[in-house]
Amino acid sequence: MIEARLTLGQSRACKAIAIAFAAAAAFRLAIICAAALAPQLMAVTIACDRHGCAAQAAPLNLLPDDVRALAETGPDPERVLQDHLGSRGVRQVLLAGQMVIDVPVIGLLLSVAWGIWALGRTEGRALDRSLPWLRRGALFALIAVMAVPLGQALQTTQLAQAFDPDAAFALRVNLGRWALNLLLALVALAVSWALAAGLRAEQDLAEIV
Amino acid sequence: MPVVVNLDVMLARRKVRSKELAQAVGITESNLSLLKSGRVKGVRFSTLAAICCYLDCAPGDILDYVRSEDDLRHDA
Repeated sequence: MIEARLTLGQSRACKAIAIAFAAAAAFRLAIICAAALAPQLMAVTIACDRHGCAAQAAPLNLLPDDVRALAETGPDPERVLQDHLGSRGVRQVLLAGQMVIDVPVIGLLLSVAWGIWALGRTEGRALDRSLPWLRRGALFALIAVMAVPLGQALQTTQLAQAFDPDAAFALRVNLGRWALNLLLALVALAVSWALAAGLRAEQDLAEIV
Repeated sequence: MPVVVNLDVMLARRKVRSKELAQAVGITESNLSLLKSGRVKGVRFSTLAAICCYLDCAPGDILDYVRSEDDLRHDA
Protein backbone atom coordinates (compact mmCIF):
# COMPACT_ATOMS: atom_id res chain seq x y z
CA MET A 1 0.00 0.00 0.00
CA ILE A 2 1.24 3.45 -0.92
CA GLU A 3 2.00 6.02 1.76
CA ALA A 4 2.81 9.68 1.43
CA ARG A 5 6.40 9.42 2.52
CA LEU A 6 7.06 13.04 3.35
CA THR A 7 10.21 14.09 5.10
CA LEU A 8 9.87 15.62 8.54
CA GLY A 9 10.50 19.06 7.02
CA GLN A 10 7.85 18.56 4.35
CA SER A 11 5.42 17.31 6.97
CA ARG A 12 5.98 20.42 9.08
CA ALA A 13 5.67 22.63 5.99
CA CYS A 14 2.31 20.95 5.18
CA LYS A 15 1.04 21.71 8.66
CA ALA A 16 2.20 25.34 8.42
CA ILE A 17 0.48 25.70 5.03
CA ALA A 18 -2.69 24.12 6.47
CA ILE A 19 -2.67 26.64 9.33
CA ALA A 20 -2.25 29.49 6.82
CA PHE A 21 -5.28 28.25 4.87
CA ALA A 22 -7.33 27.89 8.06
CA ALA A 23 -6.32 31.44 9.07
CA ALA A 24 -7.42 32.71 5.64
CA ALA A 25 -10.78 30.96 6.17
CA ALA A 26 -11.13 32.65 9.56
CA PHE A 27 -10.35 36.00 7.90
CA ARG A 28 -13.08 35.45 5.32
CA LEU A 29 -15.48 34.58 8.14
CA ALA A 30 -14.56 37.88 9.79
CA ILE A 31 -15.40 39.66 6.52
CA ILE A 32 -18.90 38.13 6.59
CA CYS A 33 -19.32 39.31 10.19
CA ALA A 34 -18.10 42.79 9.17
CA ALA A 35 -20.60 42.84 6.32
CA ALA A 36 -23.35 41.94 8.78
CA LEU A 37 -22.38 44.61 11.31
CA ALA A 38 -21.25 47.48 9.11
CA PRO A 39 -21.14 47.19 5.30
CA GLN A 40 -18.83 50.21 5.04
CA LEU A 41 -16.10 48.14 6.75
CA MET A 42 -15.88 46.13 3.53
CA ALA A 43 -14.44 49.20 1.83
CA VAL A 44 -11.65 49.71 4.36
CA THR A 45 -8.24 49.81 2.72
CA ILE A 46 -4.92 49.82 4.54
CA ALA A 47 -2.41 52.22 3.04
CA CYS A 48 1.21 52.09 4.13
CA ASP A 49 3.94 54.68 3.58
CA ARG A 50 7.15 55.67 5.32
CA HIS A 51 5.14 57.13 8.22
CA GLY A 52 3.41 53.82 8.87
CA CYS A 53 0.12 52.17 7.95
CA ALA A 54 -3.34 53.62 8.28
CA ALA A 55 -6.82 52.26 7.58
CA GLN A 56 -9.09 54.36 5.41
CA ALA A 57 -12.79 53.81 4.88
CA ALA A 58 -13.80 54.66 1.33
CA PRO A 59 -17.30 53.28 0.73
CA LEU A 60 -17.35 54.73 -2.78
CA ASN A 61 -14.69 52.15 -3.68
CA LEU A 62 -17.41 49.52 -3.43
CA LEU A 63 -19.10 51.01 -6.50
CA PRO A 64 -18.28 50.02 -10.06
CA ASP A 65 -16.28 52.67 -11.92
CA ASP A 66 -19.14 53.99 -14.06
CA VAL A 67 -21.51 54.37 -11.09
CA ARG A 68 -18.78 56.01 -9.02
CA ALA A 69 -18.16 58.52 -11.81
CA LEU A 70 -21.88 59.28 -11.86
CA ALA A 71 -22.01 59.57 -8.06
CA GLU A 72 -19.09 61.98 -7.93
CA THR A 73 -20.95 64.44 -10.14
CA GLY A 74 -23.63 64.83 -7.43
CA PRO A 75 -23.37 66.59 -4.06
CA ASP A 76 -21.73 64.73 -1.14
CA PRO A 77 -21.78 61.19 -2.63
CA GLU A 78 -20.33 59.63 0.52
CA ARG A 79 -23.21 60.97 2.60
CA VAL A 80 -25.74 59.62 0.06
CA LEU A 81 -24.08 56.21 0.17
CA GLN A 82 -23.93 56.19 3.99
CA ASP A 83 -27.65 56.97 4.13
CA HIS A 84 -28.33 54.18 1.64
CA LEU A 85 -26.27 51.75 3.74
CA GLY A 86 -28.33 52.72 6.77
CA SER A 87 -31.34 50.88 5.36
CA ARG A 88 -31.82 47.41 6.86
CA GLY A 89 -32.98 45.90 3.54
CA VAL A 90 -29.85 47.16 1.77
CA ARG A 91 -27.64 45.73 4.48
CA GLN A 92 -29.37 42.36 4.24
CA VAL A 93 -28.86 42.22 0.47
CA LEU A 94 -25.19 43.19 0.90
CA LEU A 95 -24.78 40.48 3.54
CA ALA A 96 -26.42 37.93 1.23
CA GLY A 97 -24.04 38.98 -1.56
CA GLN A 98 -21.05 38.65 0.77
CA MET A 99 -22.18 35.18 1.83
CA VAL A 100 -22.58 34.11 -1.80
CA ILE A 101 -18.98 35.24 -2.34
CA ASP A 102 -17.41 33.97 0.86
CA VAL A 103 -19.17 30.71 1.80
CA PRO A 104 -17.71 28.72 -1.15
CA VAL A 105 -14.33 30.37 -0.58
CA ILE A 106 -14.41 29.43 3.11
CA GLY A 107 -15.37 25.87 2.11
CA LEU A 108 -12.44 25.82 -0.31
CA LEU A 109 -9.96 27.16 2.26
CA LEU A 110 -11.10 24.80 5.04
CA SER A 111 -11.13 21.75 2.76
CA VAL A 112 -7.62 22.49 1.51
CA ALA A 113 -6.46 23.22 5.07
CA TRP A 114 -7.80 19.89 6.33
CA GLY A 115 -6.48 18.01 3.29
CA ILE A 116 -2.97 19.41 3.61
CA TRP A 117 -3.00 18.87 7.38
CA ALA A 118 -3.93 15.21 6.79
CA LEU A 119 -1.13 14.95 4.22
CA GLY A 120 1.35 16.25 6.78
CA ARG A 121 0.49 13.54 9.31
CA THR A 122 3.20 10.91 9.34
CA GLU A 123 1.24 7.90 10.57
CA GLY A 124 -0.96 5.70 8.36
CA ARG A 125 -2.10 6.29 4.81
CA ALA A 126 -1.93 10.06 4.72
CA LEU A 127 -2.79 10.40 1.02
CA ASP A 128 -5.94 8.29 1.44
CA ARG A 129 -7.17 10.65 4.15
CA SER A 130 -6.06 13.81 2.38
CA LEU A 131 -7.40 13.19 -1.12
CA PRO A 132 -11.17 13.37 -0.40
CA TRP A 133 -10.66 16.77 1.26
CA LEU A 134 -8.56 18.07 -1.63
CA ARG A 135 -11.27 16.89 -4.04
CA ARG A 136 -13.90 18.75 -1.96
CA GLY A 137 -11.64 21.80 -2.10
CA ALA A 138 -11.53 21.59 -5.90
CA LEU A 139 -15.34 21.35 -6.02
CA PHE A 140 -15.66 24.39 -3.74
CA ALA A 141 -13.21 26.23 -6.02
CA LEU A 142 -15.46 25.46 -8.98
CA ILE A 143 -18.52 26.71 -7.07
CA ALA A 144 -16.61 29.83 -5.97
CA VAL A 145 -15.65 30.65 -9.56
CA MET A 146 -19.35 30.66 -10.45
CA ALA A 147 -20.60 32.33 -7.27
CA VAL A 148 -18.16 35.21 -6.81
CA PRO A 149 -19.27 37.26 -9.87
CA LEU A 150 -22.91 36.70 -8.85
CA GLY A 151 -22.30 37.90 -5.30
CA GLN A 152 -20.33 40.91 -6.51
CA ALA A 153 -23.06 41.81 -9.00
CA LEU A 154 -25.67 41.55 -6.23
CA GLN A 155 -23.68 43.95 -4.05
CA THR A 156 -22.75 46.48 -6.71
CA THR A 157 -26.33 46.59 -8.03
CA GLN A 158 -27.63 47.24 -4.53
CA LEU A 159 -25.05 49.98 -3.93
CA ALA A 160 -25.61 51.55 -7.34
CA GLN A 161 -29.27 52.05 -6.43
CA ALA A 162 -28.12 54.73 -3.98
CA PHE A 163 -27.41 56.97 -6.98
CA ASP A 164 -29.55 55.39 -9.67
CA PRO A 165 -32.81 53.89 -8.32
CA ASP A 166 -33.38 52.22 -11.70
CA ALA A 167 -30.03 50.38 -11.61
CA ALA A 168 -30.69 46.81 -12.76
CA PHE A 169 -28.81 43.64 -11.88
CA ALA A 170 -25.71 43.63 -14.05
CA LEU A 171 -23.06 40.94 -14.13
CA ARG A 172 -19.61 42.46 -14.58
CA VAL A 173 -17.01 39.79 -15.25
CA ASN A 174 -13.37 40.12 -16.20
CA LEU A 175 -13.67 37.25 -18.66
CA GLY A 176 -9.94 36.56 -18.94
CA ARG A 177 -9.41 36.31 -15.18
CA TRP A 178 -12.68 34.41 -14.68
CA ALA A 179 -11.76 31.87 -17.37
CA LEU A 180 -8.30 31.42 -15.84
CA ASN A 181 -9.85 30.79 -12.39
CA LEU A 182 -12.29 28.33 -13.94
CA LEU A 183 -9.48 26.46 -15.69
CA LEU A 184 -7.42 26.31 -12.48
CA ALA A 185 -10.41 24.91 -10.56
CA LEU A 186 -11.00 22.31 -13.29
CA VAL A 187 -7.33 21.34 -13.27
CA ALA A 188 -7.42 20.87 -9.49
CA LEU A 189 -10.49 18.63 -9.85
CA ALA A 190 -8.88 16.63 -12.66
CA VAL A 191 -5.67 16.18 -10.63
CA SER A 192 -7.68 14.89 -7.67
CA TRP A 193 -9.40 12.38 -9.99
CA ALA A 194 -6.03 11.30 -11.40
CA LEU A 195 -4.59 10.78 -7.91
CA ALA A 196 -7.67 8.79 -6.85
CA ALA A 197 -7.35 6.62 -9.98
CA GLY A 198 -3.66 6.08 -9.20
CA LEU A 199 -4.49 5.03 -5.66
CA ARG A 200 -7.13 2.58 -6.90
CA ALA A 201 -4.68 1.11 -9.43
CA GLU A 202 -2.06 0.78 -6.70
CA GLN A 203 -4.54 -0.99 -4.43
CA ASP A 204 -5.41 -3.39 -7.28
CA LEU A 205 -1.71 -4.07 -7.87
CA ALA A 206 -1.24 -4.78 -4.16
CA GLU A 207 -3.63 -7.70 -4.55
CA ILE A 208 -1.40 -9.33 -7.17
CA VAL A 209 1.20 -11.53 -5.54
CA MET B 1 -13.84 -15.90 -12.14
CA PRO B 2 -13.69 -19.57 -11.17
CA VAL B 3 -9.93 -20.08 -11.35
CA VAL B 4 -9.14 -22.57 -8.63
CA VAL B 5 -5.80 -22.52 -6.84
CA ASN B 6 -4.60 -26.00 -5.92
CA LEU B 7 -1.39 -24.88 -4.30
CA ASP B 8 -2.18 -26.50 -0.96
CA VAL B 9 -2.59 -29.86 -2.76
CA MET B 10 0.83 -29.50 -4.41
CA LEU B 11 2.40 -28.45 -1.11
CA ALA B 12 0.98 -31.58 0.52
CA ARG B 13 2.18 -33.79 -2.35
CA ARG B 14 5.69 -32.38 -2.18
CA LYS B 15 5.61 -32.25 1.63
CA VAL B 16 6.68 -28.61 1.60
CA ARG B 17 5.61 -26.15 4.29
CA SER B 18 4.12 -22.79 3.35
CA LYS B 19 6.84 -20.95 5.24
CA GLU B 20 9.57 -22.79 3.32
CA LEU B 21 7.92 -22.06 -0.06
CA ALA B 22 7.35 -18.40 0.81
CA GLN B 23 11.03 -18.00 1.69
CA ALA B 24 12.13 -19.82 -1.47
CA VAL B 25 9.84 -17.78 -3.74
CA GLY B 26 10.46 -14.46 -2.02
CA ILE B 27 6.91 -13.51 -1.01
CA THR B 28 5.43 -13.08 2.43
CA GLU B 29 3.66 -15.93 4.19
CA SER B 30 0.49 -13.82 4.36
CA ASN B 31 0.56 -13.31 0.57
CA LEU B 32 1.15 -17.04 0.05
CA SER B 33 -1.79 -17.74 2.34
CA LEU B 34 -3.96 -15.36 0.28
CA LEU B 35 -2.82 -17.09 -2.90
CA LYS B 36 -3.62 -20.54 -1.48
CA SER B 37 -7.12 -19.41 -0.56
CA GLY B 38 -7.67 -17.78 -3.98
CA ARG B 39 -8.25 -14.34 -2.45
CA VAL B 40 -5.89 -12.47 -4.80
CA LYS B 41 -6.64 -10.58 -8.02
CA GLY B 42 -3.70 -12.10 -9.84
CA VAL B 43 -0.37 -13.84 -9.68
CA ARG B 44 2.77 -12.63 -11.44
CA PHE B 45 4.39 -14.98 -13.96
CA SER B 46 7.64 -14.63 -12.01
CA THR B 47 5.91 -15.80 -8.80
CA LEU B 48 4.24 -18.69 -10.63
CA ALA B 49 7.54 -19.69 -12.25
CA ALA B 50 9.34 -19.62 -8.90
CA ILE B 51 6.64 -21.77 -7.28
CA CYS B 52 6.72 -24.28 -10.18
CA CYS B 53 10.52 -24.36 -10.04
CA TYR B 54 10.59 -25.08 -6.30
CA LEU B 55 7.73 -27.62 -6.34
CA ASP B 56 8.90 -29.16 -9.63
CA CYS B 57 5.50 -28.90 -11.26
CA ALA B 58 3.65 -27.07 -14.08
CA PRO B 59 1.27 -24.08 -13.75
CA GLY B 60 -1.62 -26.41 -14.56
CA ASP B 61 -0.82 -28.42 -11.43
CA ILE B 62 -1.40 -25.30 -9.33
CA LEU B 63 -4.18 -23.52 -11.22
CA ASP B 64 -7.38 -25.03 -12.56
CA TYR B 65 -10.43 -23.54 -14.28
CA VAL B 66 -14.12 -24.32 -13.71
CA ARG B 67 -16.20 -23.22 -16.69
CA SER B 68 -18.56 -20.29 -16.14
CA GLU B 69 -20.55 -18.36 -18.78
CA ASP B 70 -20.13 -15.24 -16.64
CA ASP B 71 -16.49 -15.12 -17.78
CA LEU B 72 -17.63 -14.12 -21.29
CA ARG B 73 -19.08 -10.90 -19.89
CA HIS B 74 -16.41 -8.24 -20.39
CA ASP B 75 -17.61 -6.09 -17.50
CA ALA B 76 -17.31 -8.94 -15.03
